[in-house]
Amino acid sequence: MVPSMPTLDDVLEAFAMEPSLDRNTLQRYLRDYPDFATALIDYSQEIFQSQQEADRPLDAHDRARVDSALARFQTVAAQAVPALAQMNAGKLGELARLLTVPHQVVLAFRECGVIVNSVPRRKLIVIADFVGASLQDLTSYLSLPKRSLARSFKSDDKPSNTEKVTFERLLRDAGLADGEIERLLVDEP
Amino acid sequence: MIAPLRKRGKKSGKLYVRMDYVESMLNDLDSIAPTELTDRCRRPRGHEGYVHNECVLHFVRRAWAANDLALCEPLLKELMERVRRSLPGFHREGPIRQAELQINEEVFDKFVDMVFAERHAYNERLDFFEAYFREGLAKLRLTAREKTWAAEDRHASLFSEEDEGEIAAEVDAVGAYDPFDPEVLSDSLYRSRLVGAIDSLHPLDKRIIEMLRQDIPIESKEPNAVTMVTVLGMSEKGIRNRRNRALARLRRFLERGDT
Repeated sequence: MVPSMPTLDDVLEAFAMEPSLDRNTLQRYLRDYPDFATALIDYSQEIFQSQQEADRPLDAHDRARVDSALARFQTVAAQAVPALAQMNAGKLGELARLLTVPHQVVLAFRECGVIVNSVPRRKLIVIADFVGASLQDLTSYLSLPKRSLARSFKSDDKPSNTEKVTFERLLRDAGLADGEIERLLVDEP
Repeated sequence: MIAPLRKRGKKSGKLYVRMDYVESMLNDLDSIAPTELTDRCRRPRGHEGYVHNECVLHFVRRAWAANDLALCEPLLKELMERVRRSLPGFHREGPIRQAELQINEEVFDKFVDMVFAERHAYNERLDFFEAYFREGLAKLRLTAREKTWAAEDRHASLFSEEDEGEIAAEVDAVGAYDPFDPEVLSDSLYRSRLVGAIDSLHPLDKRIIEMLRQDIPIESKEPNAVTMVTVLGMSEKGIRNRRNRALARLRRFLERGDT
């Protein structure tokens, strides 16, 4: 069997992994792979340049690009529980009735606005079952920084700076009475 | 426990291995608390306890695979900021600046895409970055640069040689000029300017300068020697002329701050 000829990527990869990228190494590769000579020289030059450059300070454009990528990260991460991240008003209402909480509380769940370890485990299981996700995936999703996911699916908006709040705080902000809040905070089996 | 890399070198067939100092640092950081790990990874280069890029990437991938998004996000942010800092800055105006900025963006996007793609499946290509981060980014730059060069009319728009007459007058004075003199190369500001100067050259001139840096002779009496003549397929005189003009341009850029 005739061994397959290495591709350009194979050769560049092997070159980068050499212990020393000096004259002898480059010459050896140029001699062994004359068809890839220009790419090898260009790569040798790129590596040299990358070794010379000092880190530069981040500017506003760099920060915007990182923020935009992080917004994408959250969208990609949300794909673990797409049923919650992309839940429409009808489904949100259904989940709110199941949990016996106001609509705005489940909206806060969708937007990762709740501190996940303040939520009774039983409630998390109900949500996970409803959206068809594992409890671990749901917990990871809810651990993301708060943001408006409704907007994030359409743009590169960065996460909002608003702080997450406890489940109890969500219930209080929704105007529930003390007795009702107490009942909802109990982690029933 | 630090998982070994899975990718095998296509040429050697051997599993990729991390550098010893990377492996050692990973083992040291393996079991520290997430908040401490994040703090450590945020330490700037040159500071005590700095965590190497290869290690930050490893922990990003591990958190991503474990669906530990609360840890993954700050580490990924740090890693992306490091990639941005490592991309060359370009202070000049004109088409070269625009082309180089475009290359920067393509490198950044490609890297981010590779990390995001691991959401769905192990991405072997990132193993290369865990072993050789700098070389991995250099490879992305090479690919993006070739794409940009192919898309541009490099002679007309990017690498104008309209200063040919002025440069010709300086060529004779090049003499034994060595832009890679170790004494001047020890100055970090000079190194950064040298990178910008080389980037301003025509691709063919860049290759000649790189071979000059690597002490590859223009020609040789030895029949099997690797020379610029054999690699570039040009005449000795043609290479010598281009080398002298390229050196004159580099010197002009480095000494006077223009091209």
